[in-house]
Amino acid sequence: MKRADLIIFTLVLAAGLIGAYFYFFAGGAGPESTIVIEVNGVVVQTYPLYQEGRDEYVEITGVNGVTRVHLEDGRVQVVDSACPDKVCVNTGWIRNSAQVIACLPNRVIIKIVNAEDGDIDLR
Amino acid sequence: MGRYVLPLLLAASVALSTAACGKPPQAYEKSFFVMDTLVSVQLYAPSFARAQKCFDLVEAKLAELEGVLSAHLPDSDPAKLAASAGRRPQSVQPDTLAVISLSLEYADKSGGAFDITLAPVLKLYSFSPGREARPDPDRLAETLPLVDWQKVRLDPAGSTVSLAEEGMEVDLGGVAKGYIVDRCLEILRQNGIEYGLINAGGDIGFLGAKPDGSSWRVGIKNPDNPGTNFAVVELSRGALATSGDYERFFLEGDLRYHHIIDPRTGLPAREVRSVTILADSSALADLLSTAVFVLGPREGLALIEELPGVDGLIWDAEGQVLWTSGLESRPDQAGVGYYLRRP
Repeated sequence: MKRADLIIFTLVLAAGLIGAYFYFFAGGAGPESTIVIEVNGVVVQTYPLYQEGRDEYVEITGVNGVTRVHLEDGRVQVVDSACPDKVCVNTGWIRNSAQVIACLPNRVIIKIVNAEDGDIDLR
Repeated sequence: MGRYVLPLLLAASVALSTAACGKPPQAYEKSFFVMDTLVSVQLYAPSFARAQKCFDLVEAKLAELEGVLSAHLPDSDPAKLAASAGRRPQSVQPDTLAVISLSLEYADKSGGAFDITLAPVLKLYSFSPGREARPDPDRLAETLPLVDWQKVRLDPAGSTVSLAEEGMEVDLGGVAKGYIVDRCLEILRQNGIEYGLINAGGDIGFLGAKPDGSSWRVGIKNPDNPGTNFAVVELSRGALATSGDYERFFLEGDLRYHHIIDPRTGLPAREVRSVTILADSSALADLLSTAVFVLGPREGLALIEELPGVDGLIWDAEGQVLWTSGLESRPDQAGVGYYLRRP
């Protein structure tokens, strides 16, 4: 190869390697702790888990009616829902990774992803 | 320009092959509502399309098996069995045959502590808020004779099951979720998925360890405070299931009426509050968690110690934690016990 070939080879290789690094490694760094709300398998709302001073009620429309959700700084609970058994309400506050509140009749799921205590995969 | 083609191709191919070797499968998750339970599927796949294909196949299998196994659905095998009880053998699907066969085997091994014919007694209870109900003693005494797994006749050759007496019913709720998890994991395996799990309301089956080779960590709820864990169990294969008295219950004074009923008395089992079983299959873990709960700590532990590949963790009525010899206990961290399987 001539000198110019070598330069081009080196540049393209470097660009490829740098691109590969960012694509496969750098992108995975520290995703934010998030409250995810799904209805019937579709994400309808997300909120940051931590928001100082938050004391907010939101209404999520499920398949049977409304699920009322209470958000605070670092935790979330269901306060009422269109369901007979209120299993979701009885679940109480969730605040840790992999915790889930499910209102099955209303097809509403609230879960926490990427919380800071993330060493437990399932609860 | 032509002279640049070779070095360009060479460099591009080196860069691409470096990338391809290092590319980890991506994590995908989807949840389904089946059998009054949230079924969550987590898998690692090389592409979104492959993950989506697996989710579609699992969703179809979940619906199919629910239709066959759920006593609440009118065309299910348990519904047909109830209608033909005391009259004639009923032909059933191969899945039903497999579930009932396993259930009868462990009904025998547990001395009747696990019994799929408990259905008529279970119907006398309700745990819904505002509609709490438990049977009065006379009604219970009338119904209890219908509960007897030895009156179930299985004919594998003819694919039939018969219930000896009219009024008998089967409820596969204590094993079906685990069985469904096992069948859906097979689908993932057949589609080339190497890493993942399926969690059907606490009946969890694993394809293997995590992609980085580490174990899965499962938090086990504290019966006194189900928002917290009293233990974390680490495992990298097989299945795990937990039965607890804090899941569906109501209180009468200090007395807790919950959904894990002793088939021999028709009353809630009271010697333990939480049982976690580790086993090779999710169906086995599912039914053994109920059987051990009913048997109580001593007899329950003795049963699972005898079974190869099965381990268990119990929180008894006094809050004492007991476990089988196949589990190793690590020092507590912040009041939570860590347990892992011995190699």
